[in-house]
Amino acid sequence: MWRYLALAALLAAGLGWYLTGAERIDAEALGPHDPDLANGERIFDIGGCASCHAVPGSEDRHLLGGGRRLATPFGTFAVPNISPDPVHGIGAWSEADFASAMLKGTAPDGRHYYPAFPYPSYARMRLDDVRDLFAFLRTLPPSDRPSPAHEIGFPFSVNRGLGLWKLLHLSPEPVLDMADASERVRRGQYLVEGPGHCGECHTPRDITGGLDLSRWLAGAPNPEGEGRIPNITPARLRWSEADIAYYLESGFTPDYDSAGGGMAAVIANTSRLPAEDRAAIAAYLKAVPPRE
Amino acid sequence: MLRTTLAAGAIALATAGLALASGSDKPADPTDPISLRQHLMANLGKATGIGGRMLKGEIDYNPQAARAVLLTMSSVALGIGRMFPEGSTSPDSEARDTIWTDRAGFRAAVAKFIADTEAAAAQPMGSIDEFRAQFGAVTANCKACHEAYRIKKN
Ligand code: HEC
Ligand code: HEC
Ligand code: HEC
Repeated sequence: MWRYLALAALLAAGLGWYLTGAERIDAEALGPHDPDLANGERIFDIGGCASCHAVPGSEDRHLLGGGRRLATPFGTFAVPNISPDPVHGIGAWSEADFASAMLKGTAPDGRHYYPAFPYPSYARMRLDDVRDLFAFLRTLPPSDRPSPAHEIGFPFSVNRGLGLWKLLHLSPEPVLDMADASERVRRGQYLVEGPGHCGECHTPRDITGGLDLSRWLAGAPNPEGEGRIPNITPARLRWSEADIAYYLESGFTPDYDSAGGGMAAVIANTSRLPAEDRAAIAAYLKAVPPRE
Repeated sequence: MLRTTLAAGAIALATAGLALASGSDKPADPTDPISLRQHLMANLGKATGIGGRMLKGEIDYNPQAARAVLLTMSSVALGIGRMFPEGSTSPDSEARDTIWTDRAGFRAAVAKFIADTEAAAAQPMGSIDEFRAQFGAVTANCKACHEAYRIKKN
């Protein structure tokens, strides 16, 4: 809370405008890279890009023409076209443009993206994975669907204000300190905290709309209705590692209930991962601190 | 001694409380559509589990058992459509309001579940691979319906 007050004071002091400018990734900082398309596809699958950017109703998870609408307490966001179409998609983007969007939440024209695009999680991704993902996206079919406009009201329509939000909530640092954990757990940590963006649904938010990291993965109200998104820390999720991995593959719980809601689309993505990545996610979920 | 007994009692009560959290753990009430559909779905989960465990190799494959799994699914499909009358909601029910706001979509989901399970149950089931294909086709219905028309509450 004090943090917000302190920042508000800074704003009042007139520093606000300076603080809320957008950060980018420099093209010069990128250096040479030989893209690995198979890894790019793996990152695409764990990243769940198709869940939001695939054309609604299309069977093709690789046709990223956008158009899905996401209702949030801050307004309704329309998911843009990120297919390689040079006019309506991101076909004319440079690698630095893409890395800036994914890791800094900044558009090529300097605008801040709204966090309905889960870049606060993607900001924890490794640069090489982002570059492989970009190369993979370039191989997908173009779509000439224009990106529709968002429907958001004041004060959230003041884009500059997002700069302040990013200062509070955007960080490439891992959520948990797991430096001493096994390699498998750390792989799971990377997948869950970074590209998998599991916390964006499973962690409750504070009044500013950022994730309350002290209750990491402890469950949250479901924006789709009166239900709850379950707590997946060991305080509540008592499944074995094999059970969790099987759920991420098949959608079946140990009682053979079948995953629904927003999780069904997540499983459509995780079912495509190599088994070792699902096992790594399961190992991490068993290792996170229990939270109620 | 008294203390351990009390503690054990408290644990037993707490566990009973947990068990009651799921509607299908109470005895079925034939006058209550919520109770009936939760029991029906719980049985559907158990039947699906028999199929899933055969496919995972945890129990031996048996073509008759495989057909019984698909026939159970088909029976549930035939009955479920009638179990969501207008207003049949409760804090314990995980039926999502979209069942009633998108009546046509929900009816179509039930109709597809009926058609897919009846077709699957009529297929040859001699080999586990034949069963795997049918099982995949019918369980896609679980996911699709739960995605649009069911919301977890715990
Ligand atoms: C939860 C839904 C969601 C997911 C998952 C998601 N996005 Fe997005 N994405 C959005 C929204 C909403 C926007 C628009 C943000 C804005 O305009 O402020 C967006 C914007 C973008 C943009 C900027 C497009 C432009 O025209 O400026 C890029 C690039 C992008 N997403 C790439 C990705 C990639 C790659 C993935 C997978 C790793 C992904 N997104 C996953 C919702 C999502
Ligand atoms: C779009 C929101 C969303 C995202 C992103 C998401 N989940 Fe979920 N998750 C849910 C919902 C909703 C449920 C409840 C499923 C249901 O209704 O059957 C759930 C259920 C689960 C469960 C089962 C919990 C239980 O007690 O039944 C596990 C395990 C899980 N998620 C893990 C993950 C992992 C790992 C990730 C990241 C790879 C993830 N989730 C990303 C929304 C999400
Ligand atoms: C046409 C829609 C539909 C289909 C198809 C469907 N379900 Fe369900 N299922 C529901 C709804 C709705 C609920 C929540 C009912 C309630 O709580 O009132 C539910 C609840 C459940 C439950 C929890 C029952 C309890 O204990 O309360 C299980 C287990 C389940 N379904 C398994 C399955 C399986 C396995 C399949 C596929 C073989 C399946 N369902 C197919 C709609 C469907």
